[in-house]
Amino acid sequence: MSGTETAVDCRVEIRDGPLVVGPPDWALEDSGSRLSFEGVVRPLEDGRPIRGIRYETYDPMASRMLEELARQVAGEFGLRAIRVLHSRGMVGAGECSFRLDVASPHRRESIDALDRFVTRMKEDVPIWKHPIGSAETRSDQTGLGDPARALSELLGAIHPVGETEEVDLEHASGRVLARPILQDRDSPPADVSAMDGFALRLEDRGSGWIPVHAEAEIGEAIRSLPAGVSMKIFTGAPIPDGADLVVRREDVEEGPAGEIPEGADAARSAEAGGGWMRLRVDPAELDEGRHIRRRGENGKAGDRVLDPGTLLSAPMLGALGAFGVARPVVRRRVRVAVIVTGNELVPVDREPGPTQIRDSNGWALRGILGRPWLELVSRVRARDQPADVRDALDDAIEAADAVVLTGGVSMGDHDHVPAAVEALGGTIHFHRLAIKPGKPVLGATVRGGKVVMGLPGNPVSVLATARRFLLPALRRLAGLEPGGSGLVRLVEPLPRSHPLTRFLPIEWAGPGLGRVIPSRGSGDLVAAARSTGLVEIPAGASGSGPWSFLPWEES
Amino acid sequence: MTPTTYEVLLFGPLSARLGRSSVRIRLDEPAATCGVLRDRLARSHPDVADLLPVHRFARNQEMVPDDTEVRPGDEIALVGMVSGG
Repeated sequence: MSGTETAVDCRVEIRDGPLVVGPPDWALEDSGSRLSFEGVVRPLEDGRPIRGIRYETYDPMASRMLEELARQVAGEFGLRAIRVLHSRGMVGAGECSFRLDVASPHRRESIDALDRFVTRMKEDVPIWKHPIGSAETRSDQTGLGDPARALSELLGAIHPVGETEEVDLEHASGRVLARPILQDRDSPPADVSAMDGFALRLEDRGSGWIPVHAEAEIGEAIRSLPAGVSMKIFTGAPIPDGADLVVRREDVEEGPAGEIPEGADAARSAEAGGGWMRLRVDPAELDEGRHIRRRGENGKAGDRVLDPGTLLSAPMLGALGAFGVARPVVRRRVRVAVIVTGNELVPVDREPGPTQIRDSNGWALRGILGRPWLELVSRVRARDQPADVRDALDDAIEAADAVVLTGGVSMGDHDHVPAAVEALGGTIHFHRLAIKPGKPVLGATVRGGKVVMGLPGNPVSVLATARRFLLPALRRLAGLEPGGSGLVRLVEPLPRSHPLTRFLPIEWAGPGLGRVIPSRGSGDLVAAARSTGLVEIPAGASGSGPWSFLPWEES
Repeated sequence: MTPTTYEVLLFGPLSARLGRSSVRIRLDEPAATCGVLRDRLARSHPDVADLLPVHRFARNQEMVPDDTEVRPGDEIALVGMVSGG
């Protein structure tokens, strides 16, 4: 190694437009190796054709950092010369947007320096590329999408299915009410007692012994309360005509059975068929209407008691029974078709070959879709080729309101769903979100509001994206309000944050508490299988929460 | 301390999502740091809150940590999600 330090020939420039230069005109004695690299704009960005790329640069910081990086790499690898050219602004597909030339005594340094430079440049230098597409797709223009916004954009394009049908109350559990339920009669249907006690007229409130006339039973015809006496009454029994109030049993003293109490007016014993009673409380406390529930106080005939758009739960079924609705009107079931793609998948009852696996995603989706308000109309497997995916989607969309596609686990670069959606003239509302797992998820609508959702192939990705995105879209189709979400605190706080929104499988650890199940990645179906649901950790967040909880079993 | 308005330069997906190349943030605090700017931005623009964690500040075109003080006249930019090359 010679003792003389030779200055490195270092040139850095950011130029507007595509780069149309050749190698530099270096006059270098010591360099046996000269290496050139050209970065060319590809005609496809993530599978979609683009016209070109617009490069945005933070000037002059970008040139300065490129120059610092160039000198640093030159020094580290002993380069004799380095030249960096980068485009600014629009560069068309097929044109050069970046050029790096290096020279060194031998080839090893050139090759390593070139690789190092490009790697570091892509990490640190403030230059951004904006693909300019032939088809406008929202997500690529704004970077990875935010999951909540992406979902709301999709939901905005979906309308509930219109058709309704009558179902027997027998089969109505879990269906979506389509017409409001009205009260068929007043509730209570008559003035009734709210307490066990004695019915009394206002003018008969006094301090002495009062004859008790007789009992009014629940459901019996209303009787009249004669003047001067009280009547024993039970909760829910109709108030006899003439009675103004009910005094509670605890607030009276009852005379001994079969006897006339001391101080009572014996001449009135004929009226005391039910014995005698005396008030224990100040009569002035007993105002008109005390402990009486008036007719229609809970609700009048014709009042709306259940709104459409609700899932028929146990208490709702009880209410339907009470109001005499034997055949409620519900929305028809939402029809869902499932397409599982993947050349390497075999059915559950076959032995997979060395390069094959059994289809699990189809079954996981069936679990998510097994709800009374959904109907799985078809489940097919398609080969992972563009024409097969397109044909399968075309078939499935006929009879379904929503089609769900899920890739084989070894999907790699194959993603034929966007092209298939575009072939149907559909709109992609989101594709690729800032989430983990499940980044490649796609949400689209075709043919006036039918839903197409492409789920990534990994088992936990399928579950997370189906739960977080597919289910709300199906609920919207079903005419349901979006489900609320519970909150869960983690018993072990998450130590680190992540730039993506995370979905983590958790197991129950007590009321409102969850424990993250350690998972070996989005292929770890066992961790998911042990979980009761997922927590959603927003991007950049860490700690114990509380976090939004997405249970597998939706109530 | 007189209130100072900082124009924070934006690029890339952050800029595209907001549809603007800078945002103005007014600070009244005597000791204002980049971290304060970050918090203020997250609160006033919640729709980019998910992108902020992967961005760092450049003050007068040097990358700086969040506890760096900002002074009137500083050029402040948010740099992240770069995609050159």
